[in-house]
Amino acid sequence: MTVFKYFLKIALKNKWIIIMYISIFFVMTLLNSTDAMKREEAFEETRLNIGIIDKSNSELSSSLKDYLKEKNNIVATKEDEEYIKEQIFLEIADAVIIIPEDFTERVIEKEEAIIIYKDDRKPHSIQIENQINKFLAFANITYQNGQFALGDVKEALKENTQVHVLSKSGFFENSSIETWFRYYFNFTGYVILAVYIAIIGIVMSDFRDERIDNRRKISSKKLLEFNKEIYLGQLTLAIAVTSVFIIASILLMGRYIGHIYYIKYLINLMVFSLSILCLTFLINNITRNKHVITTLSTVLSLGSSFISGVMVPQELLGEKVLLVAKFFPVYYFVRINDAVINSLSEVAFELFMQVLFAVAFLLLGLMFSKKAQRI
Amino acid sequence: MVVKVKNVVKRYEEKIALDHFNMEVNEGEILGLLGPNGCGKTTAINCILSLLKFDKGEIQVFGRKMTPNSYDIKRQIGLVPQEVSVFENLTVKENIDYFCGLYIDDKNTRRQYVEEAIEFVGLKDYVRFYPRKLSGGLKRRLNIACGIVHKPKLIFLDEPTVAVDAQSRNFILEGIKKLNREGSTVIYTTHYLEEAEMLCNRIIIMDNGKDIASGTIEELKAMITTLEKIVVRFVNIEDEVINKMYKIPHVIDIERNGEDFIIKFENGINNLSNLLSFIAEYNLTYIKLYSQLPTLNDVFLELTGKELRD
Amino acid sequence: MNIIRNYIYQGKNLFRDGTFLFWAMVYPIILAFFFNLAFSSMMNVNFDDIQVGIEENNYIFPILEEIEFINIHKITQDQVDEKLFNEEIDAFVDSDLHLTVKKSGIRQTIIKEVVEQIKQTVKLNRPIDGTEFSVNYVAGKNQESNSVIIIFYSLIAMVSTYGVFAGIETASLMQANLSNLGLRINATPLKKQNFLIAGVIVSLLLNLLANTGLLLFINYVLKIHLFTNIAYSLIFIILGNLLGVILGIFIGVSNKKSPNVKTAIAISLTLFLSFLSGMMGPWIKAIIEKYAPFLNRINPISIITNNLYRINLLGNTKSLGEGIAVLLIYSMVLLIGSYVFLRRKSYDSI
Repeated sequence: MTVFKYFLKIALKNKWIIIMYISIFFVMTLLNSTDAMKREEAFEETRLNIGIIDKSNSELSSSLKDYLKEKNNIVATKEDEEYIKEQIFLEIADAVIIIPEDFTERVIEKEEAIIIYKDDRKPHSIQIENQINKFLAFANITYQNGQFALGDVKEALKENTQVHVLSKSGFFENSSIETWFRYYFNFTGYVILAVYIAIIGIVMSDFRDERIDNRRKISSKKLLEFNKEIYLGQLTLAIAVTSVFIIASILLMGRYIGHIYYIKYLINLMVFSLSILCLTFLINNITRNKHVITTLSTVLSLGSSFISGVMVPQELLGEKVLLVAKFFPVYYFVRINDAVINSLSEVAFELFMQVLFAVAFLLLGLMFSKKAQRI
Repeated sequence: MVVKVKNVVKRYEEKIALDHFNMEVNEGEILGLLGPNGCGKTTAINCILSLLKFDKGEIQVFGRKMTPNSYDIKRQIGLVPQEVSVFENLTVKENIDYFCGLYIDDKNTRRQYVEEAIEFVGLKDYVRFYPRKLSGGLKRRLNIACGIVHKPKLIFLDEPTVAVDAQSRNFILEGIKKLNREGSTVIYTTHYLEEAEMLCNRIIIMDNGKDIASGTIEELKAMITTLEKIVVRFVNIEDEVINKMYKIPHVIDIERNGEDFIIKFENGINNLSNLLSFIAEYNLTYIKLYSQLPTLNDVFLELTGKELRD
Repeated sequence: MNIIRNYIYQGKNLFRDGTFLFWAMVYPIILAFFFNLAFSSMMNVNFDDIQVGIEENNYIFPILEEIEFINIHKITQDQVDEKLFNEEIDAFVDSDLHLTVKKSGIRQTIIKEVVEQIKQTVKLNRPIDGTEFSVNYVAGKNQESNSVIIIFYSLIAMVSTYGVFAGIETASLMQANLSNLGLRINATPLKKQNFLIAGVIVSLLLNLLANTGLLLFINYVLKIHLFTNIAYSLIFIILGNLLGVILGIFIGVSNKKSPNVKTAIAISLTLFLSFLSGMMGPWIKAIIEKYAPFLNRINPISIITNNLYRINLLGNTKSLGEGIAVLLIYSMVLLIGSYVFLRRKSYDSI
């Protein structure tokens, strides 16, 4: 077990890099999942901060204002384009609308009747447009003989649709907790990719300096034996990294674990870790250039996470993107985390795919390793 | 005096690298700094060049105190470091030109110097090569070229022949002699005895950070008590006769190495004929007999109690 | 000393290193490609097959049937649970026009909006011809933009600081205790400040070249037009470059850790700051704005991202002073710090 022992020794020498990587990525994971939990409040329209400048002062404009006030917070503003843009930039206001003097006429003519400045950085800001369009459409429907029936509009808009989230075996009683775990583990997927490739790569490139490698080639150690011990070393390192994230999830949210299907996340993360470990093994057999390895760590992890639904939910991604994403194990990992299931058999396919990736990476890795036997 | 080092002490956390080290280099000589690996040769050079801080002592180069900002002194110095220190992504010629340009401003002079240096180290066929494509010996030659291209008055060569094939080694050693003939003072560190003997006018022997002896080769050899060794093998000899050999004039010791006897003499005159008369007197038959004059290794062995070879 | 010559050789040395070139040029382009893949599709995602379960006798059944992007599934009350869990339907509409769903998502939100509007229209009880709801009464005053662009500003901000790697490289060449070459160069009469300035300028130029490559790629290949005010945008990109290079030199000279450690520090630092500036989703920036707004004003990557946004999308070039000042202060402090480390020119150990 010399190889294994020295692999760990070199890993230990690099402990500060490893600790630094893990802690920075951990902070990112935590910020991301905590934020997601707060963000995803199902079916509740977010109250936005909006500014209104009413130059029309008509009946229609004031009832529109009343309607918007019900659903949003009003902030003071003034009619100066630069001022408004600055307000939005500084996120004092999510949107500012200007109601022009000829507002009523324009509405009746079904023309653009309101000027809006909104914060494009926030997807929510679109809802203010929807609210205005809906209100004015309703108002126009009631327009008859030069009169709006604004009272009726108000009454009608009070109607709402309630949403009942189906819960089975109580999993969904606490949907924001579920959200936290989902985002936490999805993001952990990105971290595992980035950290495994980076730190195992660093240790490996220290370990397999070309000259040392040639020495190994002529030693009596069998290639398979050598690979086995190397793999064991990498596995140990990988387990250490993954454990940090599992243990942290238990420490932080342990009291809720009973309410969710925790074992799903656990098994999924383990299977995913395995497939990424095999990917790392493959990468290390293809190149020992440190620049390439650090680049791959960033490009592969960020790139495949982006298109697989770690940063942006899968349902928001187009079909073509997901088609590309299917060639990366992260896709299947995220699908399992996102799925609502009662037993693991429901995600057997996704688990199987990850294992398949693991086997493919491993075999390719062994192939390259064998090829590298001859210079 | 080109370099003067007086009582320099350099301590690393774990050990003393230079322990009241002294050294003087005269203009026009090749000074050998001889000692086993790890004895402080490179540390001494780095201290002289003021790359390293030292704890005590005084160093002068060209009669002035050396500091990191002594650019005018640095201008007259060339360094050939122990490790090959060149830009991996510049070609042979570009590397030499780069380092030349750090000393020589005039374009034409520089072009001429670069050509001469390439010629000098025999890398004419390799000017467009990148260092990684060169063999170990050629890399060392490039390393040397980068250090001497500006024709410095004082050249430090730190073990330039380590891991170099015989052909390149001779090439390098001849080159150093040539540099010296052209007027450069050379400080040459090595742990190879033969090189020091062949190359250097004067030698300082170092061990454990101390200068334990210095002088010309003859002076060094004169310091030790054994000045001649005669190795002889007899067909048949009795112990009694061996004891009588101690009576031969100037014999100080007799060692037995297998069937060989090594007879040590305290001076170097007439020992062989004295031994031959002894052999004739006792009617002995020998099958081999030869005389060895002392080498630097003997000097080193006697001064430090250990062999220099590693 | 011929300084220009020095620049050229240092440039050649950095530039010929294939992996370095890859790192500087190709890597941001690959990332931009992935970003674009993910985010552009996100913007034109169409939900044309939302599956709605409904009982046949529900009075809005015919209305829903008319809506193109909704697929109707006739089901009975007792099938609801099963169909939801098998994900055959996204939501079930009951007779009171309330919804039952299994999870919350965009599809469910869309169904809710639709059903709610039908409910409100019914309540209003006026004749409609169906065209009323397609009128747009709102005129947007923003320049053409979406959150993809913000992500790209963040990406550009991040890669503008990638001069950090060239900086680390330069630092290692300068220090006798870091590399063999550094030792040799220290023994020559080359003044350190000359080498430092040459290093900064060469790294700056190289990284700017790489940035230009990225910008051209975004503009001509991805066809995303990010800049309306090139001059002011360039100020921030160049300041980002300057900060990156100097940060690299600072990381390089301030410690004796291995190049691995230094690169790792640089990568994780820039990645983390980019994360905080919203590169992995703009909401992170929003949450920081809410709880620690100060962070966004001192995070250099946020400063660059925000100002690129402000300059190009808001057309505001008046209040750039603070950002420029903060970036310059960082650069100055790091430069002075590096100089302090460099000034100790004899080393304790090599």
